[in-house]
Amino acid sequence: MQTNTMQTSRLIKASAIALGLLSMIGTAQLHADPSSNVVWTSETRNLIKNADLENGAKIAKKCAKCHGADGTDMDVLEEEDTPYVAGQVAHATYKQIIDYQDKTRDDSTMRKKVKKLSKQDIADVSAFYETQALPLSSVAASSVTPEATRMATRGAGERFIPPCAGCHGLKGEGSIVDVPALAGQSPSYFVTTMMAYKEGDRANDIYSRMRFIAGELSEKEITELADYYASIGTHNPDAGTASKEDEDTEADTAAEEPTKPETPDAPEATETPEAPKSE
Amino acid sequence: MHAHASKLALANIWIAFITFLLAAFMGLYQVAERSGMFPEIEFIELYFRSVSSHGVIMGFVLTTFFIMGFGYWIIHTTLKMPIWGGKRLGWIGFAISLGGTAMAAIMLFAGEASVMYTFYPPLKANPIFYFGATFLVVGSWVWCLQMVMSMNAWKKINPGAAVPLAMYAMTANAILWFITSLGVASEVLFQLIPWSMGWIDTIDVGLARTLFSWTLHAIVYFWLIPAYIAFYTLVPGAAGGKLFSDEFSRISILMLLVFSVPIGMHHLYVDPFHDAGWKFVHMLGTFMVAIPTMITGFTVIASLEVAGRLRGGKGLLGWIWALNWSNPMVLAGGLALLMLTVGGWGGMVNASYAMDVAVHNTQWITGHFHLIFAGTTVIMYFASAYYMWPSITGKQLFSKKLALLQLWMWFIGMLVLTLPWHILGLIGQPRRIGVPPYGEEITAPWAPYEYLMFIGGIILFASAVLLVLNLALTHLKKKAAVMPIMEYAQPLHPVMNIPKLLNGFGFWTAVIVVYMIASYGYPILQFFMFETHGTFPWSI
Amino acid sequence: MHVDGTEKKWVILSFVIAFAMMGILAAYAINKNIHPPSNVETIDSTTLHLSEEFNEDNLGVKKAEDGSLVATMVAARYGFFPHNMKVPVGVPIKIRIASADVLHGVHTAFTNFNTMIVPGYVSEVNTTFPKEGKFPMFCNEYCGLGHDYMWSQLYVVSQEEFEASQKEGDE
Repeated sequence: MQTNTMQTSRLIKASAIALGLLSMIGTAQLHADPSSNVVWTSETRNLIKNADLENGAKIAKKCAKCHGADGTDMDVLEEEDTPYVAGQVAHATYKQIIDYQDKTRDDSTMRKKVKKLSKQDIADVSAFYETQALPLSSVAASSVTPEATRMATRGAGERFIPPCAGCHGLKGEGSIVDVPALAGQSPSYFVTTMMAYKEGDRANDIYSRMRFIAGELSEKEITELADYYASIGTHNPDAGTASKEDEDTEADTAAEEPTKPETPDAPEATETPEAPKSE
Repeated sequence: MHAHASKLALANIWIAFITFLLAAFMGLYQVAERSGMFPEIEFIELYFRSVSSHGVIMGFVLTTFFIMGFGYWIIHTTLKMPIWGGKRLGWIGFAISLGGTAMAAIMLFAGEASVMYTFYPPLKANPIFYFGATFLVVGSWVWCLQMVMSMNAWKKINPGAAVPLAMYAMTANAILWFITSLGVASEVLFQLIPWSMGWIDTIDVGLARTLFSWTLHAIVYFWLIPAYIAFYTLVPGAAGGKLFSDEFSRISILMLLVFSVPIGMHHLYVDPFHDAGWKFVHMLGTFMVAIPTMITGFTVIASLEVAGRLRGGKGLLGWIWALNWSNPMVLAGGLALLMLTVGGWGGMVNASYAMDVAVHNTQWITGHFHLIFAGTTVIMYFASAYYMWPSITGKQLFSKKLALLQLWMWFIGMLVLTLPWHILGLIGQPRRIGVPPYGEEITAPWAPYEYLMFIGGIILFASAVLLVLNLALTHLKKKAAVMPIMEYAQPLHPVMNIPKLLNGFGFWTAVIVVYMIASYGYPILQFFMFETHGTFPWSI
Repeated sequence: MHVDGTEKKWVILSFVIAFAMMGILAAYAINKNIHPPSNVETIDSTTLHLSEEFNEDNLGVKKAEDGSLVATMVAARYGFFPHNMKVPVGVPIKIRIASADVLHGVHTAFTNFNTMIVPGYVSEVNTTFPKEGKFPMFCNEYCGLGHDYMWSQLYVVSQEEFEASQKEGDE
């Protein structure tokens, strides 16, 4: 049985230990940890260049439960903090998984899931995902606002915001080296991520580049951009509430199947593994 | 012999002008897009694609092919002997260059090589673009060989005689081109191609820029010397006078030859991989190369004065009005000299470090090289084409009036385009931007100049169309009754004994090699002596 | 070889003009220390954010041990970091900037802060900002599709305001 006195003294001890640890940490470092430990040296790039797609497919089967088997598997993802990963730029996936392992990206669920993966494993599964098509569009082009299209393609220079397309690709397909594809991404995940950058909870973007941009964007702009990117995924005949009288907006013409960016060293897919039957 | 030489000359010059017309249209698109008056055409990717294509065509295709054609015609009309290498060699060189141009052009138009005409790494284009550029340059080396060997062949059968000035100058130009193109050739062959093909992982961007700078300055003299050839050998005669001094023309050309290659580092004044000592050495050489242009100015103006006074002009400046400005070659010469004066002083600003740092990579630079290259140099290409056309085609030019109109429009359009451009640079507008997005406070002062530049672009494009029309319609005319002859200006004082040094290139080539080793040897070797960190390829 | 008298004078004058210009530039270089950047220093741009000097927490304007001002900046597609910098008017400052990816350039109009930023090298500029105000810093070397948008603000403020902001920890 714990008396109040015993509880208090335990609390005091725990605080003392915590303070001691904190002060050690404080003096041991001259500056904070980097936002990410991932650097694109030859060594790291070669992991992806020499990826084993079969191993990647095997690992991906375990991830399918939350992330879907491929880009057409839209039902699985009901959590707003779970992204589609099909078709994602291999180097982008690699970086995020390493960041989970290093805790520079803070998510206890993902950290547990990827804890046992070796660097080569991570490269393998990342390369495998890149061989898949990007996710299907889940929003109709007619639902996209002109402001969002403008922000994505023309940015807002006076606010120092480059067009999203400048880094993320003219069709949202991502870019060299580890700029992720956004086309077809789940709108709720998009909003969650951008708000996390805006608040600083997501902090693995080197030199705070996304934190700065998200900080400048309003929540409304972010939500509208989420719809824009969800509308330019792989062509989906059942997308949202598509009507025959769709306006001929830029988003419309961009809804062709996005092609993969010219990322370095991503291996060619030799055979696409069969998609497991969705439950 | 005439048939072969004329076909070769025509093929090269037509490739130059057809691609020029395409690139001129791109220029119109760019200046329209930049005016902000047509939001429907504002696409950043398309803009950069256009700027890259426009730059490569104007800087590498228009120039190289025109100069080759002009060179072949000079061999034929001054040496009056077959082009060295026989019928085949010229066509082989032409085919290689044309094939390379096609490869590069397809990549550029497809948006796979939007890396500007300077193609600085680590932005990487499709490797086919680099291969195409290589073939374009290698094909032109065939021409260089033919120029040098033709001159040598002539000297053998005319021992002691002065090589005709136009031939001497164009051969100097060929040697200049070969030596200067080695810089970019090395960059492409040893760095860009292996790197873009994935055979090597990284390249040092500092070394790449240094090798490109080797080519970057002297290439403008490769472009400029044919204009000077027209100044010396065509303008005085067209004006009804004589060339003031044949020997000083040669001296001027030789000074250009020797001093233009080893000064490329003035393009790298604010680059961090060379120290100020080397930049200083190159700066000194840059001011040396201003001297032959000043000499040229004197020679040409003096020749014009001789002609003007022969036509009855009196007084200090009266001879200017007496000149026959209704002759396209004379008109172009005068207009070019005006543009050379403004553009040349702009060049002196760029060469002076403290002033350069206020204008580096601003629109002042773009204004400068359009004025001096698109203005001074290219207007003389037009005039030379008009001048050559009768003797090449056997037909009188379609319309002299149209030629005069075209040249005036080019001059006025160029001033309207480039003078506002210089001002934009002075008030801070950076280079190579598609749509200035910085907000009204910053961009509003720029707007009036952008509107003016749009007007300049319209005039220039119309002028480009008139050039091509005039030359093309000449082909449809009937052959002239008497075969027109290409006439070259006679010197005021006939050349009696030409000094060997002004009649050959052996000594001067050795001087260039020594000077190059001195000014570029260590700056290039250093990259192999300290540890550098290479850069991987990046896309746009 | 015939040499006309006027021509000879002009040729000599041309040499004099050219050498005079060279002399002026040399004099300023020696007496006023006005010369192009001269510091040749390599750095690995691939691992830039892990480096001691250019790591994310070390950017901005700081006082070095000897009291002089150093600004540490990074250029990366598509921005200059730190985004909006404050510097004091009339105080000599050394600006050190490196690229995390491709070629960039940075120029503050109406000042002599104009330099290329080359991956693999550190660019170092020594300058003094003579006028107070808000000045745009533009990227002036083509660096990709977002080049147009790559810019930043430079605030040149009074020395008092600068000292105050340093105390607050602003950068």
